[in-house]
Amino acid sequence: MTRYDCLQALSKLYEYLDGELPPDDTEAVRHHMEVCQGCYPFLQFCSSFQDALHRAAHGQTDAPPALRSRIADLLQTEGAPPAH
Amino acid sequence: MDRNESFQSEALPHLDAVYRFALRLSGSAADAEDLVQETFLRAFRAWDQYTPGTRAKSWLFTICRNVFLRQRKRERRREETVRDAAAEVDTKGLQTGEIPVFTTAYQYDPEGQFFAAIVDGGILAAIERLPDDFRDTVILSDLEGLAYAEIAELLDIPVGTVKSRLFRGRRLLQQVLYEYATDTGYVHTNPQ
Ligand SMILES: [Zn+2]
Repeated sequence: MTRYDCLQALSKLYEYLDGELPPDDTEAVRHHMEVCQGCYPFLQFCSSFQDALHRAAHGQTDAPPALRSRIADLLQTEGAPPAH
Repeated sequence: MDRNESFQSEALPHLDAVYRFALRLSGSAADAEDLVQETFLRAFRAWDQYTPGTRAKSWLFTICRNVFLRQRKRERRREETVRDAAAEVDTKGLQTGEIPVFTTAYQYDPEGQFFAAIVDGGILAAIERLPDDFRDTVILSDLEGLAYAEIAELLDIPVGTVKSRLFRGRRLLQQVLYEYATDTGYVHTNPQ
């Protein structure tokens, strides 16, 4: 099993949180965070940070409703079978 | 499910995200609307080339970017010069032992509870204040949920660059958010 020291675990922390690590490395970071009191708070801090960003993502600008219906009309015309 | 139905259920839900992406590329609401319209039309026509179950969002973003670049061919040379300059800074990659967090904020609040107190508008405004390269990468990852490989393809940069921009961009964002929280009184830096 892969083992990580503090530097390795911290340098892979965001990749770990983003789900971008292969299973072996995911397990290595997870294990290190479980046993290392020095690193665990970094995990918590970064999780709180990303939670806040994910929450804020819902407050972003949406497409104007007029654009939405224009595209719906456009696709309807485009997708309609040719008239006989 | 027929072609229309699968497009409705897989592509159209990303309309808001594509609009935001287009708005960012073009810088104006009117141009963004044209861009989105063209993007969805092209996507619809090319829907047979889309592999069901893969990530429709990044596929749409790629089409949107290509439409934009084609429309802007004249200004392209200038943009590439800017991008090359930015890429040069990135090639160094991450240094061993770089800390993933903004230390001052981390020392103040190791659990990062203050992040939860910042309103959505404050977070989005703070992201806007990041340098362009960091901002775009953070938005695509943390707000739009794209994978590293998707971001790399979209921005035409190596995956390693995506990682280092995210690593540093997030740390910088923590600093901006901490300052925002301090300014607005969510964080009191003087012990009571
Ligand atoms: Zn450790």
